Amino acid sequence: MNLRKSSSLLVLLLFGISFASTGAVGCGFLGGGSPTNPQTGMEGDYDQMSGPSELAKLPYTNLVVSGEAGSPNEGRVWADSPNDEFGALTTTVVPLFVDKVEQGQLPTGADGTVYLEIQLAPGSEASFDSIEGREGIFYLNRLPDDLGPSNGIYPIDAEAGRPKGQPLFQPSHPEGILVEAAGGGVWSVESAVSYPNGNLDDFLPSKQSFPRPASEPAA
Amino acid sequence: MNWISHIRTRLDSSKFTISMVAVLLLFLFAYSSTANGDNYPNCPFSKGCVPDNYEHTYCYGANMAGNGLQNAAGYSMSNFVTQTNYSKTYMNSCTNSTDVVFKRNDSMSGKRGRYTCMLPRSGADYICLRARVKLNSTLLANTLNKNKTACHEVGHSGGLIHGEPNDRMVSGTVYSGHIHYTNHHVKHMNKRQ
Repeated sequence: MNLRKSSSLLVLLLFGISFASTGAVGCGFLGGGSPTNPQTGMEGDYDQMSGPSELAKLPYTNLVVSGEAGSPNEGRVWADSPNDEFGALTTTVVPLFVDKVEQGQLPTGADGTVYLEIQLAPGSEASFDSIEGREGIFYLNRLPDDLGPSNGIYPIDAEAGRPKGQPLFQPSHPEGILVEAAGGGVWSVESAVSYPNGNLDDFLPSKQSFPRPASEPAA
Repeated sequence: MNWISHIRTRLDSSKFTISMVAVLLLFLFAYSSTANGDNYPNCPFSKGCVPDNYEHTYCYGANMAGNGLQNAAGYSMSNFVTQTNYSKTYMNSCTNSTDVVFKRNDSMSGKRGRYTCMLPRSGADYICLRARVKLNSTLLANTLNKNKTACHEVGHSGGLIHGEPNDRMVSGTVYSGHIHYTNHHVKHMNKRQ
């Protein structure tokens, strides 16, 4: 083998090694998606669902809608006491413009829009704003209208983020907010999992299993 | 036409040289941007950010009393220092400098527990100055799962993200085991990377 060929092979080998070692996932990181997908900046422990039908059957999934996410805006603050200084939760409210009710019923007085309350970690707001304009499927739990001290919560500015009298919903499960992903596929917002080969129809309540996520190798 | 052949040979060599240099530069660029073996995302997305030092202070916020949650939180901190190089200090009152504020939130649908970095250190990646851990007692059926979830969230406060089988960083309900962090995770926490 001549010097030129040897050099070429060596350089190609070095290039291949560096490319393969970029973004290794030694600790089971659950995908992460593109930086342009909305992030909540939170991490948590939850029971993973086998598929959309299991999501739909959760006791606290009382509404499933498909539609478009609107512009996020500031919501109420969840304080744990009147003087909670060191962990009061700020929230963000996303209006969801409903195309179709997949399960359940819209609340009385809803004008075709339901309001999703979501909690973001400080610093993730700019990333989360990219949810605006994305089509999605949303598995929702209606929060008590009178969320207050009896629930251990002291809400500050309780009506923020939505028209007066409109109820708030939260994700019924961390895997229950699915939107179009940047670059194609579907992005699970709270669990930060990418489904590059999925489309939103794969996440309808009738579907038994999720599509293959980005973190899993092909069979 | 020897001179044509000569020029052609030299051009071929130049092209070869240029292309090799280009590939080498690409290699250097790719290598310099290589992630670590484990993917620990940055603040301010606040996923598993690293504490600012090896002393991990903690406190209990409102509503932690009852349902065994304080026991679980205390257990998680004790286990954390047993397995790692960290020390722990319990604070009777939460302050701006408390590393981990434990709280109870039974209104988190579907979430057994949740970690949030409330205060990433400005100008620095990966460093969290104050974090909050929320535990949902309605989804934690027994002591094993209370302890496991508390340890799971404390693991996030030590810089971990989701992880290996039979480790505390695995998601969801457990029926046995999951009583330790793996050596791999302990190593990362000790390195604060």
